[in-house]
Amino acid sequence: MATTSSSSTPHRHLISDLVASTLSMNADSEWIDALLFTPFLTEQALLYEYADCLAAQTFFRMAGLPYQLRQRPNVDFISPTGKVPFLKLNNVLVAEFTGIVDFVAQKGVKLSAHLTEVQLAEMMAHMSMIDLLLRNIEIYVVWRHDETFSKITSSRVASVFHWPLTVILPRLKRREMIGYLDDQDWATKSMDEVLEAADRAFRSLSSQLGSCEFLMGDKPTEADALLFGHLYSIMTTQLPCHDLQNLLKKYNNLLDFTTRVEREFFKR
Amino acid sequence: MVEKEKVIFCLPEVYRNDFIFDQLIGLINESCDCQTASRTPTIKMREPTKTYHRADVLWGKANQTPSIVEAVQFHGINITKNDALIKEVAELYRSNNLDQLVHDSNCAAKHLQEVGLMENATALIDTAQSKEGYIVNFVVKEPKPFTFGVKAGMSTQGDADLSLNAAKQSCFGRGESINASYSNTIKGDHSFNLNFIKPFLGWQKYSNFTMSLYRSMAHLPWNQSNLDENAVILQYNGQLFNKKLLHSLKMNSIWRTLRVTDDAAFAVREFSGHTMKFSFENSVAYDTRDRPLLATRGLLGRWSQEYAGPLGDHHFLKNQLDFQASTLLFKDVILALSLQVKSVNSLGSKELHLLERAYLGGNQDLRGFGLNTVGVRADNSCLGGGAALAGVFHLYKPLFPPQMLYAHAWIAGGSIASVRSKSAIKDMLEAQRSTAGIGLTFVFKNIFRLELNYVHPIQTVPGDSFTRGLHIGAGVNFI
Repeated sequence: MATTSSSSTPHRHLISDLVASTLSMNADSEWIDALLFTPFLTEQALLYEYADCLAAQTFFRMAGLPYQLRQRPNVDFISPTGKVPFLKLNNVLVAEFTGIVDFVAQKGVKLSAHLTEVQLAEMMAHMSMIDLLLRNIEIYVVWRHDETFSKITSSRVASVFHWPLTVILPRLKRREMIGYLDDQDWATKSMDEVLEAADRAFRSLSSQLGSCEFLMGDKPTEADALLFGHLYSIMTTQLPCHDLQNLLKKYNNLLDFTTRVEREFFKR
Repeated sequence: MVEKEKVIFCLPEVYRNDFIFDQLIGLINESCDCQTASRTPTIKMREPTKTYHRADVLWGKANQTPSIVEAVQFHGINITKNDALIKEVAELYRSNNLDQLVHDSNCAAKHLQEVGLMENATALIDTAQSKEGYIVNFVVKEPKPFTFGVKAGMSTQGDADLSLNAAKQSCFGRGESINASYSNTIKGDHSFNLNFIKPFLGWQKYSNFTMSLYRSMAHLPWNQSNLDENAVILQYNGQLFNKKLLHSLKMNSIWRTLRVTDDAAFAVREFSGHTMKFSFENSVAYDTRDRPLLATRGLLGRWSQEYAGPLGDHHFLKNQLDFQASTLLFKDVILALSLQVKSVNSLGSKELHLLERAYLGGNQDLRGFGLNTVGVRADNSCLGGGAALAGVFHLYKPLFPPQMLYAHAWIAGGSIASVRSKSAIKDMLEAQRSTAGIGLTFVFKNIFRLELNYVHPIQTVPGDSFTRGLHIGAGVNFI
């Protein structure tokens, strides 16, 4: 799996290749002082960033790997791919959820080791759906939806800067992110179309989950970590548009899944 | 005593050679509508015939000759405002002997050019009707209304760039100038610089107000990163204590974006991103050097402070002391000593930002070391320090062409203390570096200096980026 499945430019791919090659070289070093760098989660991180940071933490907790959280205002610049979160293990930096999962797998820790080839492919498909579809929906709401941008996004982005950057940077970032959505053919979609896509994603995830405890049966996998990160963030983030939350509330088994994972991995 | 009929031709010092003298005669002829022009310093004016002489004919001999300035006239004024001219020459009316008048007229002409009011100015002192009366004429050429230039070049990183620049001197008729430049590289980076200077006019007044607006991009090889800056800078330059000290005040507001490359150490990465810097600088200097880039004699003492906070992301206090002394040894050998001390203290709880630290090393201070590489390192990146000291002893022997090419021998020493240092002086004493070398130094006016040196190490610390051998240094800020 590519380290940065959501990356858009060839440049990004190049960096992820570099990181991947460092990975294989250092994969045998030990798991000591693992640091997970994230933006300030309560004041700064945006919906999809919060989701990815939470997913990475969930993954570590599910895999029983100790880590420490470090919150920095400039994590997007420190990160080798420009995306959050990233893991620092000794001198190795690994960015983004999928990158971290691959890195940990190279160290011999796999949550999905018990799955068959077919199940593994299925899990990958779910992960890339969450990673692409769900994240794009969140990016759309955060940056493209005018009210959300002006009431929430712009002040969260500005929270770590001083004037006049508080005015300049949210706008620059918005232009960049709308450019990204445009590349994915998302910028011109209407809110209704986006919500319809979200409903489809939730429905498919809900039917996969069925009455099982986790997506792939009774044991948690990487896909569950990612799914929990996104669902929990959508449920708990206060946004001017409640449509996404209301859509999710229709799927009871997804809500139960969220409370279950939270109880099992974060409240013990 | 000097004859009343004599008319004095007063030349600014710089024009004392015959070629330019002839050109000036032509200029005067034009502006006075003269019928006959001659290649000799004697020319015919309208009525009556007047003879012009150079100022040195009577300079120093007429301090007893009383003079009253009846009028000051300007020839060649189109855009310059009347009140600006009055401020510039009012002092001439105070001169009470001919010697002083010659001297002051010369000074006024020089000043008109130096503040940017005129491109050329020559004072001519004419006799007037009354017995002790004189009329001072200034034959002037105003700056071109507008200049424009296009330039294509290659940057040091091998990137081709195209730059445009435009300038307007004395744009509102009071010596104000505007300079604008824009450059674009093939890679798509663009930078610009907009500069506005307003001189404060008055008798022998050298002070001005400057405003700059710029966007720049730089590669910082010692940190393995790139820096983009967008800045607004306000500056006042003036003099203190009866014009003995140079004084400047500066207000910086800079939006900086530090982008690291893949090779940068984590200690550098941590500082990447956007920051806003608001700072005030104050600098006082005593300067008697005859030439800033390579003084043959004179002293420089400068103390500058920079304070950042409470606005912006940076909170620090910086101090820098510069001292330079030059003197002639034997007949033409120049002995010079330069010293530079820098210290930066963080005022907030945060660690001092990488970009604000004191750096040392390079061909302009501690020759032979990589640029800004002395001190604490992490992987291949240099992290700078909290205090730095550097000193250089120079011996120069002029070669041909004189005032341009010199044989140069030097010995340089320096040290740096880390940001976290408890006792900066002790740390600096423990990690001294010194190098010596010989080479050639080329100085082009006040524009740039080029050094070619063979460098030999005397004291280095393990891990230093030092290479014995030939080094080339170019720039303006050499110590």
